[in-house]
Amino acid sequence: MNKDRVVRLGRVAVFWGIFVFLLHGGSVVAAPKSNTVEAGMEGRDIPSAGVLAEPKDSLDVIVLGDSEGHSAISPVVLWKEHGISSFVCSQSGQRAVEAYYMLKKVLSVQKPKVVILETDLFYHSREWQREWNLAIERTARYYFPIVQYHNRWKRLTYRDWKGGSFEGRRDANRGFLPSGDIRPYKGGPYMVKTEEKEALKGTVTFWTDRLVELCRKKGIQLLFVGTPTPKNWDYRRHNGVSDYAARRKVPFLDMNLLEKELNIDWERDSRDEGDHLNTYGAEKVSRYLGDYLKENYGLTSQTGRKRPV
Amino acid sequence: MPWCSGSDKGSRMAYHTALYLVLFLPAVCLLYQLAGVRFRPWVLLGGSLVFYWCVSGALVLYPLAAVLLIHDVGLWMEAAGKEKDERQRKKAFVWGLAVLLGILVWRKYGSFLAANGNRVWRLFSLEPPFSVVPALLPIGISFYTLQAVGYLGDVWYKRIPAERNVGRLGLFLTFFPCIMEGPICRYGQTGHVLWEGRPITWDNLTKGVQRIFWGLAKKMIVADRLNILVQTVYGKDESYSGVVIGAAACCYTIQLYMEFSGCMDMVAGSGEIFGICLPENFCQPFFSKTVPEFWRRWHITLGAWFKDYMFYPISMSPALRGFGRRLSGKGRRRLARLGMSAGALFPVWLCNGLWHGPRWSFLFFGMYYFMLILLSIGAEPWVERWKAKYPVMGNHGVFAGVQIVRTWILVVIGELFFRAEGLRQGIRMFCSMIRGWRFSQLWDKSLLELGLDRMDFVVIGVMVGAVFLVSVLNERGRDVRQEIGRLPLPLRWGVYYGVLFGICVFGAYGEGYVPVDLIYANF
Repeated sequence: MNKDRVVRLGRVAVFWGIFVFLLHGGSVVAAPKSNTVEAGMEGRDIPSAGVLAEPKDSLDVIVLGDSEGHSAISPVVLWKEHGISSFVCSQSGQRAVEAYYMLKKVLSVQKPKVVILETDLFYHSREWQREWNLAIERTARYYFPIVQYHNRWKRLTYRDWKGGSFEGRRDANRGFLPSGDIRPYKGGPYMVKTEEKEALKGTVTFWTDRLVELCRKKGIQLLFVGTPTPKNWDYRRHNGVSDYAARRKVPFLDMNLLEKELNIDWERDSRDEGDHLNTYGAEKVSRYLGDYLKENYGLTSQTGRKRPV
Repeated sequence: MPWCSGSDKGSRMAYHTALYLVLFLPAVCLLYQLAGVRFRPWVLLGGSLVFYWCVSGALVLYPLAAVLLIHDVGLWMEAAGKEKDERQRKKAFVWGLAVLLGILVWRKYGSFLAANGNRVWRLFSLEPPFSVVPALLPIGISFYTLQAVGYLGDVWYKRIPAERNVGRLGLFLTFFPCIMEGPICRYGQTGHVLWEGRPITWDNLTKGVQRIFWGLAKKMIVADRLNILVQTVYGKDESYSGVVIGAAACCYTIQLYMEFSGCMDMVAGSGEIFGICLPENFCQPFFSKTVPEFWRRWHITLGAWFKDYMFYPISMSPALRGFGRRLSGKGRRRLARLGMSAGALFPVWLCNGLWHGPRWSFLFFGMYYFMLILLSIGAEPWVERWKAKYPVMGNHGVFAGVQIVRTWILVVIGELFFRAEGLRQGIRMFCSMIRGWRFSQLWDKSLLELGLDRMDFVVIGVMVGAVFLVSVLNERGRDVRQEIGRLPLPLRWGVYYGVLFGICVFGAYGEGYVPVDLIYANF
């Protein structure tokens, strides 16, 4: 390599290095300093960002997934009835790429024993080009929050410019979104056995594979959980996820097949005609899940962690 | 980053998306550079077909069919020419044109023609005979069809020999930076350069990347931000009147310019990386003193195409020349000139309007410019006489300024109709603008209730100012990129960081913004 080329490459490296440094600096300024709307955080991220405000290394279980996750799994029930400390880091419409980066963020402050991935997220996928555009943006957002919060330039405060650290507000429900609304599901049985499969899209498996790998690397046990949702689930999806879970050697607990064990009453336990569970349904699911975790993962309140609630 | 959003309306492959800028373009560049010179054009062709497939899926068969068609028709014409069989040559030419234009009309205008045919039927109280099913439109069909027709025209007029290499024709017609929004290339200009397989040089790479980011800044900072205001007013135009509608039309004109010229920068930058100099589509159009001059500076390749392949052939046609001679013979030279101009300009502007899409408002848009240009031709003798009488006034800067502002006003009115969902909305908005005009709306905060706040207007103003400055320097014949390149390193990098950071911070993307697809990609 001649000298000119070396100088040129060096200059390119310095140019982009400075740009990355500037982006990082800009990110420190632009990132919200708390998980509130006033601080500039997007509403969708506020409950899950509460995990960053939890005492360090205090959580045993982290739940990832879309709105099914934060509607069906209640950390308060898990703690009160089983002594399991947990947090739901689900977001409405969370994609696999978002779950992956959410976990990376959580692992900077927590050392969970179990990560639960709610499986409705696997079928939250649009056409692949849009998904890849989204994935690139979410990756940029993770490394440079200015990409997400750039629009805050209009409302930056002195504290932002000072680069103050994140002082999150703890979420009383630990990411769970309680709802007392009742709108019954009247569609009847929805898990009709079939051999057909709804395969997962490549953009989903690409990021889920990374998530599986990350859990393995950190010694975290990963569990796929399907919470009851007649509007979004059927046996084809069950088969699709079972197939993927078997290939990746990840246990899969599909509660859609456990209506009787859970004692789900669709007249009372759904808030929107079978799309999401309400608090009554969530209590049943969380109770069952607590038993399952205790039985299979040995989680109790005696794990030696600080009491989170 | 500009590029995408979490909303369900996120973009698919397009020049401003992350998929293109972060994955597709770098991948093609890498493969292109790694391939040997002989294989590089094939990498570009493969990349172009992949790009087209990403945007339009199986409809990629349409441009492929057009490639095969013009390849065969070109050779057919040449063979007939060698045998001096003019009838065969003409037959081949007409057949080629008929198929190309037939497919364009069928795909793009089929449902429009059917819907209007049904209307006529209904006038006679008859059952409408046509079913109106909007057809899936292959992306860029209006662009590649004009290129294909241009190629056949050039072979017909013997400006170029027929191409034997079908791959070369394929790349000419489907080259990925041009396929969505043009520019409309001529085979004689780009056909061979595309196939040379020049290596990607350092100079070309940096210049191309710079131009891409400049285009991205225009689109992301100005066009996509203005879209909020334009969308608000056009989405509920009954609620607005006067200055607000005028402002929306102005903003749309700026949005369209920033978006289209920004996209052309991205296109030219992409081409530049591969050492391909694509024709420019804009030449500071808002410095035009007259409407015809505006159209020589705006969407240049479309105007030039219509001039070369429609206006001249019609002007030179025996019928029109005979008509002109007959009128001139009666001592009506001025009228003959006007009549001949009208005869040649009418089909040009009819097609120009319709080229943008099957809508009456586009047709009106074409006829609007036809009338304006005809008026300017008709008024020319009086203007010349006036200039001769007051030579000082004619050359004065203020007079030039007045002419430029007059052109802006005429262009903005045209764009008001152009953006409207239909002719009815365009007329309604125009009338409402005139009737409800109150200057007080300029300062009573009406303009701040359209989705943009003061800071948004400041950002837009700064970026428009930067584009204006670059335009002034370009107009004076200075190469801005070269001049920036000569600046001391801290200043030079400061400019580059300014643009990059401007896009990241002030770009209208992410939460709170609706991703805006490329406007001309729909034409």
